[in-house]
Amino acid sequence: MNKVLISAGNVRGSEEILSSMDNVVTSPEAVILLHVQQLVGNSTMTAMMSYSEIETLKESIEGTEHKEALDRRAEEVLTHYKKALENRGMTNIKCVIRAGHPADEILKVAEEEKVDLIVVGCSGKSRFRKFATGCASSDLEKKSTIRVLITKSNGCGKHSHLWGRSAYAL
Amino acid sequence: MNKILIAVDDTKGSKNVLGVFQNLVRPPQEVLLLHVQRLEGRSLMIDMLSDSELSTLKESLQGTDHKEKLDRHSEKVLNYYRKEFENSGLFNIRTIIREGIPADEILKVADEEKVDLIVVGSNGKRGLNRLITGCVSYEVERNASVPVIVEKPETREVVHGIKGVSPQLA
Repeated sequence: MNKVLISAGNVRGSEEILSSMDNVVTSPEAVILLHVQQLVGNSTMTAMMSYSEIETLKESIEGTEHKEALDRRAEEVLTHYKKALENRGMTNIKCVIRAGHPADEILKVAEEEKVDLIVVGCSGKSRFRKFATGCASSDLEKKSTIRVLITKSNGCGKHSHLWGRSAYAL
Repeated sequence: MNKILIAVDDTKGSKNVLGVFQNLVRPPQEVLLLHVQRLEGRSLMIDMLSDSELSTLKESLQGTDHKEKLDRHSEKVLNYYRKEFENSGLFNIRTIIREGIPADEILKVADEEKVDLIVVGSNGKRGLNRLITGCVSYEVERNASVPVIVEKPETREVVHGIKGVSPQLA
């Protein structure tokens, strides 16, 4: 069974993910679309919380407006991706919504569903912003046991690389 | 997809790239096999050299036994991978040998040859070892402007949680 997990974080990064589904990936038998809800702040914040803290947080926001807004957004993003994939002739699509730390949830779902490939977009964050806000794609690259395809948008991979090198040399 | 750059070296992690076209990934028209000779030590050591120091090092190595050994070694590595890929039915393979900082050279070749996808293996280094010796797949993932596939070993112990804390303990 050829299964692909697509991390559908936001609509903005969808272009690159979908175009690499066309170019790089041969049509899979099943696609899992995963949206991870960011309950609070950014992923550095959730990374610092223990599992029990996240559970408490999940319970406490149940039924609030914030949660409803998150749910609406998740639906929106997933429908966008689903429609685009269906236009490409893929029918076996499963949508999953999770809440918690993005990289962890992606890995958990990937394992539960036994996928063969994880597709994730690149945030294009600079070194500092990545440090301050966290980045799912590098966390995944580090921790995943399944192969990861990291797609790039225009402007990705141009920041701070050479600068970092010369700083070493100094 | 037209051109794929596959970066290989003699590590076990690198062998993971052999499975890349077995499922889900579309075989390309042309494969570039790249081996970067590491002139000195670990990748973090060479990171700290400036460009001019690096070119001095390259010049001073020219014609020495050490350089000859490196060349023979590269040939061996590239021949191994060429044979393996040919066995799996890919024939349009070009091999390239570069010297210097692995991640930089991979990105440079990717730029020059205008490849559509970069494939690197992951050796699964973690924690202190990763910090001290550097990690090519991370550098490439961060700084590439084209999609990157990070190939992972078939089986490996799975650790969740940002610091490897298991859910029960957290």
